[in-house]
Amino acid sequence: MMMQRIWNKLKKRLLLIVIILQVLFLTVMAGLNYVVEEFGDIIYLETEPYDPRDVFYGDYVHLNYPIEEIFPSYWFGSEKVKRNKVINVLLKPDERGIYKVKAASDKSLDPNEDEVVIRARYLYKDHDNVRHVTYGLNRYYIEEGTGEEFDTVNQKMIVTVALSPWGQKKILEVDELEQQ
Amino acid sequence: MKQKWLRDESEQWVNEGIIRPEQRDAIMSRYKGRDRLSLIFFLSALLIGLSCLSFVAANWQVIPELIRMLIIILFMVGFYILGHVFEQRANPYYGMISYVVALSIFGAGIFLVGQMYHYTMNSVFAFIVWAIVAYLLYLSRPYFFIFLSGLAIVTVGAIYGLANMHAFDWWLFALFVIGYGSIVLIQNNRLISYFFAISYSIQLMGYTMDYLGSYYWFSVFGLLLYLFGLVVYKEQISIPFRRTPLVIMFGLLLIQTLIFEFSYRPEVHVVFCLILTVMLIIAIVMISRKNHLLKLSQLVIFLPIFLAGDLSQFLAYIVLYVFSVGMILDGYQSDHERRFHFGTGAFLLTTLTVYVQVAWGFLNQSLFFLLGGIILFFIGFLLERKRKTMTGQKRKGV
Repeated sequence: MMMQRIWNKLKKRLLLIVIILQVLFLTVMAGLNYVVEEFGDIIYLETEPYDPRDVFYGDYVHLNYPIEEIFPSYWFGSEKVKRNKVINVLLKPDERGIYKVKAASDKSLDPNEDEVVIRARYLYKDHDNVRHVTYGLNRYYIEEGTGEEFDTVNQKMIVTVALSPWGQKKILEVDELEQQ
Repeated sequence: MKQKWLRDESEQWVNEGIIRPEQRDAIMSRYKGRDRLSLIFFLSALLIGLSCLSFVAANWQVIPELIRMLIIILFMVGFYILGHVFEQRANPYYGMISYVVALSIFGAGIFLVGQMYHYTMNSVFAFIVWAIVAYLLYLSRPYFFIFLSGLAIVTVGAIYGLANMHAFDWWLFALFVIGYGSIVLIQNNRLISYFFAISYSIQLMGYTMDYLGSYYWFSVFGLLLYLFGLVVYKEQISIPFRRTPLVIMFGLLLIQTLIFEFSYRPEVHVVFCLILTVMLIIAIVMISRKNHLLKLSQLVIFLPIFLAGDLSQFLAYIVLYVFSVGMILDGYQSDHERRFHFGTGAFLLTTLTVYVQVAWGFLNQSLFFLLGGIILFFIGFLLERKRKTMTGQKRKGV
């Protein structure tokens, strides 16, 4: 009886609650973005040279990273890891400030001062025992007509990524690397 | 259109003395046209909305990000208010459409914000949030189409996760089974149950293909739904839950007969055989208890006939025939016309498949079509005659 009354009361208000929740969700989603930009760690990643033919798929650039391949000497985790399991990758900047893989594991990793740990999803192990992972950073949406254009040449790019303390990642910028 | 039909028909009823003119007026007044004015308002709102939307879309890139957020939120809230207004004006139909539009704007909003700020969506998180909102919206406004939208969001989310990330999200599936499943149980509506069963099948078919590596695992999930249909005694739920997996398994077996021809043999897991055996035994016990012995023939469709090696192809034909003949007999015995039609259709399809595969190699094409047509016609003729006597008996019985 009591429950019924509460439910009836709630049901009347439910629509309003649902609308407020949706507005809140969208606002928080947008707000978090500024938080990540403001307070997140900034790292720089290098992309693999890409195949010009399938760079553009819809209105985004497809990005591949060398750090998506983890060589056996860097792997410190279990021998068998299930596909899609979340793993940790420890990145350390090289002399140019580009972050490279130092260690990876399905267990937790302790970073030093200048290192960062980012989460990735385990994909598979190939014949050479190289483990393939993804960071979910493979798409960069380009806004048409805003002057952001990417040549479809076979070239490396530098991606600026912000990392939030709670593990969210966000691509800030994609720049073409000057060829040396 | 219907109104015109009713007007003409009822006039005839009056002329024939079936009803009196007053009664006709009373009937006609029941089916008065909808409130035309709100249709105009609705269309105008829709047009204005569309014009705003196309204007926004054309200038989307130059609008500052915060304004874009504001536009999305305003549109969404606007449609919710519109829905509420329509409900107040006793126009639930337009109210429902407005709610569905608002729900779509919310979903589109999540992805637009994600795209705008270069969020990395590594999971089907967006779909989970969207599906929860659809669920809550349904609880507050139980329109069938809102339920359907929720199911569509869950299904697309599951397939999206599998296609893009090769990940089956169990949270999304839990929301589907517990949240949406409880609605199915409470509503006890046949259409809702059918859509739930179809969504279940699509999701688990995707899971089977992507995770378990082989289609045959689906028979376990199909049988699970079937068993659930046996347990639930509410007919509006029980029938869709049993029929949907049967139709899908039948379709799968037809496809399998094509595969066996190329002597494809999947590797079989011991666990699979064990689970399937236990479930089949439970099903047999439950069906026998209800004294529906003819229904036992339906279970053959779940048998793992690909285990039979070279005999698979032949066994598949037998299973298809046992299934469809069982269905026809069941429909005939229980005086259930739809079941009878279903069995007839299954029988014709089976015959066609067998014919195509067995005869293709030996006959030339025109002869094939000729013979195929004649055989189908003959079987159809026999079945139709039987069906006619059956419906004739039914009418006499009434």
